[in-house]
Amino acid sequence: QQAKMKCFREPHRQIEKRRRDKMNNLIDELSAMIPACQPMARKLDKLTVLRKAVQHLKALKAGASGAFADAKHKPSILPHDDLRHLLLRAADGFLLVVRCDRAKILFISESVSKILNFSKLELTGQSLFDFIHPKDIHKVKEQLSSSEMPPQQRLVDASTGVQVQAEAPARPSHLATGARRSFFCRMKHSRVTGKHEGKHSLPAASKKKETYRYCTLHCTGYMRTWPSGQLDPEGDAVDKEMPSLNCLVTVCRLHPHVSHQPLNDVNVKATEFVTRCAIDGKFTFVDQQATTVIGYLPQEVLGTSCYEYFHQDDLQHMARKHRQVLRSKEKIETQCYKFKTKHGPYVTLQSQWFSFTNPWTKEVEFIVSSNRVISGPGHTKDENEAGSSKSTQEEAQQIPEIPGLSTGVGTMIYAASIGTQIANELSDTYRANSSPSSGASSPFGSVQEKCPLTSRRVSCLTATEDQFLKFFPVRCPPGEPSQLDLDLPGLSSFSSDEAAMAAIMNLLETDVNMSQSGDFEDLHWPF
Amino acid sequence: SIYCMPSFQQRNLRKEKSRNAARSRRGKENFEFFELAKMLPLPGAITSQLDKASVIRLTISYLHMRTFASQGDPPWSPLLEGDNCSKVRRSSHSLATDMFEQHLGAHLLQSLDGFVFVVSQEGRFLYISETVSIYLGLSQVELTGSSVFDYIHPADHVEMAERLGIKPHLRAEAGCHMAPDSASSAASTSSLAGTPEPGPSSPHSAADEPPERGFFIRMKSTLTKRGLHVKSSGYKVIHVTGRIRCRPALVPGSTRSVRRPMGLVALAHTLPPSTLNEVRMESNMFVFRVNMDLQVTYCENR
Repeated sequence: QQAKMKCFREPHRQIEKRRRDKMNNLIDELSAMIPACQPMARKLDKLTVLRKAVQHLKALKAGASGAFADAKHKPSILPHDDLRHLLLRAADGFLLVVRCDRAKILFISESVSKILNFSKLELTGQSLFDFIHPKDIHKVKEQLSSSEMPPQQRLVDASTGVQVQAEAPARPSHLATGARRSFFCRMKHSRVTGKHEGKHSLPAASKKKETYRYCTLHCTGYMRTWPSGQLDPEGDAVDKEMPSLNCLVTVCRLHPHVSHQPLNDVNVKATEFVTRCAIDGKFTFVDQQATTVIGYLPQEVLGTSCYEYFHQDDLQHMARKHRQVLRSKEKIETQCYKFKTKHGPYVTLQSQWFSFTNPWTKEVEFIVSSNRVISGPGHTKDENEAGSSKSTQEEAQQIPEIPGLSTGVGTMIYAASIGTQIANELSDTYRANSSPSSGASSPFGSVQEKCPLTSRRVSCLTATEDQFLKFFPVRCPPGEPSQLDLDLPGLSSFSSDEAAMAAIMNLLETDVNMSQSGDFEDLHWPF
Repeated sequence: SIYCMPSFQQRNLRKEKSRNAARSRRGKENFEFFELAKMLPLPGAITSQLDKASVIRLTISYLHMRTFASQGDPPWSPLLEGDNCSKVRRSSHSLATDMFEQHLGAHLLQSLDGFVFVVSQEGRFLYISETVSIYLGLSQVELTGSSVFDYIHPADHVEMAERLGIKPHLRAEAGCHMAPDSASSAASTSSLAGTPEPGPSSPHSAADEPPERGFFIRMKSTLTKRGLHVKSSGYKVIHVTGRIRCRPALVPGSTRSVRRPMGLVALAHTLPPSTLNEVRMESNMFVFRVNMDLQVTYCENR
């Protein structure tokens, strides 16, 4: 039990100590503020500091011009003058008091001269409407006027948009003392040449056809009632009969212009997305983010060769980089290149490629590409690309429209084959390096393995396959009954059969992709 | 003389003497506290309820504020009577003038749709208007003299310090030391705490930049419900607009005069605007609501 008591006492002691320290710090700080405490050589004790502080404040009070002496109004923590200056420094505004019935300006503060260029004398006693923009007069009238709303009007809650149920009789609270107002209006700004020219550039000023400019002010305030005799001694006889005047007390301030930006720029991260493709350049994975950049959904793009989307000017460069990445263990940076988006225009990308090698087979399995958007469609940048070879351009133009398939496929076929070609080069080197197996060394070896795949695919094609096969006979390698003859224009320029085969297969894939949403990601390429 | 061990009675007597002395001293101190509180420019109802630490804190703050007002540029001099009214007009408008001119500050405060504050270079509230209770539910007495960082969302400390031109001070536990340049780009989830230090954050201090400031921070509010699911519950977004107040100072060893920042004088508005919630609809108007991405979510039949 003794231990428990001790437990409680410990923190309490600490609490007490902390309180004492805090108080001592405060006393020290206070003594630093009191002139009488300053020149002392040694630290003064608490009581003396307090006494001197009281004396100091008394002296200040006596010296002040009665700012605190006003017993009628409750004292504010700041002398009124300070508050006025403070508010002026915080916001560019002035106080405006108007009679609700006539809109006569009963009071306007000095600061109006800085904002509207009129002196307060010019404005006091005038009608407010003389200084409001004609189009805003109606709104200001409304703010000053009675609460009765014509039946076609209704009140809507600004935060929800739901109609507020207005009571049938006029709501007295609208005019009552304390009811708040907040509105924007334009007030005349007098152009006095030379005086404030250039110094106060009012961003909100707008030119009117006559000599006046207007500036937009945000007016916030409240309604208040005062005895009329006190307020407006110049009022006419009718006024005298009114016991009290409804007035609107508002502060009208200029909206602050955009402050200067902080020194650090906002860094916008460039859009990046990741793709993965097989060694022949066919997409096997596409980041979801890609859709925002290229327009295609991932599933639309999977299985298609990336070369189909490269601009033809970039093909040579990309092919070179493709070869490079397959043979290098490092990250390869491409130059900026154009990538065709779904709806036509090209987006400029720049990618970082990295090939992944299977540690057991020592063969490249796939290429990971981290793509960064350099600029969107519409920005045509002249890249310092190596000029595309003439042959490729001619080839691309020679391919006629293939019936049964969408236009542009001809280009696609050719482009995709680049990837496959490069991939095949790689696999050739693998074959060459690895121990020769039966038939594997022959260039047709890979095709032989591909063919069963082809026939497998052919079987899952839809009705279009018949049409297709009529036009494009497929040459099968020896050992299998050849069904069709290859007759694809443009393919004659291919150096190897497998490239042609690859092109056909790509065509089939494209077709399949269009007809069914199967993905070939889990198909194991027999490399 | 020879010092001999005090006897039991002597020791007791001594203890009692010291106790009495302490009590009397405490009594005198309490009296002075009371006197000091009365001197504060606050309503008596408030000053009589203040605890001692608050009395000192408010006194210090009041004295700082006086320095702020008088030593800054331009000095806030009191309004002289015959300054801007011509003699002819004066008599007829004296009543209105008296009513409004003298209490201009109070009227302005009441008319504004936000509250006003002054923050020193030490990061303390030198002044905050009583209207802060309307918008944030906080008390003027509690905030005056306290550190602003106690009332600002931790993730916004860096920004606030930047705008004031002071260096944010990190706790030793945080373990990271930020150079002034990188302070601005630090992640918002930094473990900033503690009182920021005064002092310019860069060679060309806040005084050289234009004095205007406009930024957004989150301040504590007792008016918002603290929910478990709302991340920023208990805070309200505040739009701060104002100016840095500087004072001229001589560079030692030269005749050059520089401007040293004293603090920020600002207006604060809560977002979304809280004053008016009702809009008057004419017959030729209709309401529709949109998402943040401008997708129409609701539209009236008319």
